[in-house]
Amino acid sequence: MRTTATGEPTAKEILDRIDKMWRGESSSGEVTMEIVTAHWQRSLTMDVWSLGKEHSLVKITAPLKEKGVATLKVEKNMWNYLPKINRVIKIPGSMMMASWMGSHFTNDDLVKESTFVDDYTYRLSFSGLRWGQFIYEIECIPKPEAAVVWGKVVIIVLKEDLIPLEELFYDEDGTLMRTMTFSEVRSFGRRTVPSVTTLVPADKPDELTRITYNRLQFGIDVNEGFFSLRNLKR
Amino acid sequence: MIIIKLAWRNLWRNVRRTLITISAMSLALSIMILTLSLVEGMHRQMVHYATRLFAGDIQIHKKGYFESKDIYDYLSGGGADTLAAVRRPGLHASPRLFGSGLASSGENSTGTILWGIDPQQERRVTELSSHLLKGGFLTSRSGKEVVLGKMLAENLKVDVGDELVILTQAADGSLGNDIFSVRGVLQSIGDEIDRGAVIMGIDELGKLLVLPDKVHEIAISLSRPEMVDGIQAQLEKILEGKGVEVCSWKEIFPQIKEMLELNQVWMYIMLLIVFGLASLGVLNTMLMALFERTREFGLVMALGLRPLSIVGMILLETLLLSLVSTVVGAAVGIGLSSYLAAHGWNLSRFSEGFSMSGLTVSTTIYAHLSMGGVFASIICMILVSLVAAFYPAIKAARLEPVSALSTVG
Repeated sequence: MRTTATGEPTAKEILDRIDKMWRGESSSGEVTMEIVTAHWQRSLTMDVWSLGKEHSLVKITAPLKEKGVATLKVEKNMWNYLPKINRVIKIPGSMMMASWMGSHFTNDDLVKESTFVDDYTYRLSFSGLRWGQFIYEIECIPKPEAAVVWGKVVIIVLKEDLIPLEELFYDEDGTLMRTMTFSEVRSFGRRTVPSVTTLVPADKPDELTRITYNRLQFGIDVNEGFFSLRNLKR
Repeated sequence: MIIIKLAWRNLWRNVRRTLITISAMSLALSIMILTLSLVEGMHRQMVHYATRLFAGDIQIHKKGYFESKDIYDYLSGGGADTLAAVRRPGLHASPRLFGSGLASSGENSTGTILWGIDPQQERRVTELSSHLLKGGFLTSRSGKEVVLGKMLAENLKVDVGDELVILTQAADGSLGNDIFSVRGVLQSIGDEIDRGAVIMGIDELGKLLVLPDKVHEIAISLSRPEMVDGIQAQLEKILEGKGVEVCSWKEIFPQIKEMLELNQVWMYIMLLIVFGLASLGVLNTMLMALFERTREFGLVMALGLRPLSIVGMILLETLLLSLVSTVVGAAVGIGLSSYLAAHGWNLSRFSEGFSMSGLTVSTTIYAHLSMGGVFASIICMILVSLVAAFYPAIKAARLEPVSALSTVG
């Protein structure tokens, strides 16, 4: 890794690591998603596959009521498969900010292909001790032409291993919209990543969506043909 | 009696001038009556559109729902308690449930508002069912059938009999989804319904949203819509402490309410201008008559007629003048208004139908003749003419008989 004269990594290097952390060339795994809202809470288990940043497939395996519900993403397009009625629905562009499967993630979170390095301008805004840990804080502002819904994203990483602790998402007026925290760092094969991501919407601090990776495997044997409407239904 | 006869004869000494004045005054009156009835007709049409198409005169929601549109702000038990509490003659109530979802057909999908209604009750509250473009309306509270807004059907490229998939986030967090068949498509009646409404039976939507026997809105129509304010207050009193909100169309469509109020002000301004012009006509006629008859006035005064009688004579002439104008003007105004009330005035040559506050407004205006308006216009015109005649009358009364007699007239 190229470093600055002082031996510290640059902001670009930190962001590049984060961009690539979840996106291996290809991956598959099993995820549990817990959703807590003011009115209900539930837990979904799903199998996930991805290839680069253009292709991904998610299939719900539990609970029984939702078993087989699947989402396919190819480039900017997104489809949902509903086994109960045996129909595939294409998600229109106007619904991108709507909730995905009732969680606090939006459809756009799944479809977006932006990377911090390519689509944002960034600067190291803080470096030092916070919460008893040595951290770096990087402030990212989307480039004007970037297809990004946020006004600003602040990323906090642990200095020691450059693994993210927290990402704060702000709207264009600078209001905090949601906080994503990362925890339970685990090794999956040769990679070490936080296995739990917790999303808390800023306007509903009592609600959350927590994603836990139970299994995760990088560099699996899939090609683009795997991410097809036919596979979505199967 | 003799003085009336005299005044009447005086009036016709200059036939042409009197006729011109009568024409001007009756024209003013008929325009006034016609405008009043057109504006009244338009107002009634606007309110009718606002209330009868889908909103109702009054709506009852759980406290907070009107603002938040939160699906968890519902009335339980099918709203039965509230429905029972508001029951009275001349009032029809209909329960509704709402949600949002994704409607999809083939490759096309779009976000929609899901409406759950009770078709039997809804028929008595709004005219939704009679504004069908094609197909039929819903018949029961359940059944996998939907009626769609016109633009929505176009965007989804679906027609009557086609299949439509609805996907929604149910109240328990699960993914509600089902297949429906399109039973009917509504005419263009308002942006909200046009672009996004998928209407189905209330029990069916309750199942889809996992909100069984829940109600978001109770829409109420009154057989006497003009009593809306009083009935709203009554209902508020009855339902006090039940955790519900009662609002009328004036709160649902504040822009329309404000527009109607503003129109009222414009009406008064116009009334002032039209009658102001008419009164100038009267003033002119009576002044001219005065100048012509200066010698005559001098003579009758020299013979012993008191100045007060002169004033009375001129005012009487004016009164007769305006009475004749009233008869002619009212006849023309009422005639035209009645015609436009029966046949309407089609403005489609000027505009292609427009939308106001999200309501599609018809291009044909039907006048509404209100006897109150006619009466007020008539009284107004007579009063204004008499006031205008005062100046010439007093001028005549102040004439010096001797100098008046020597005037060359």
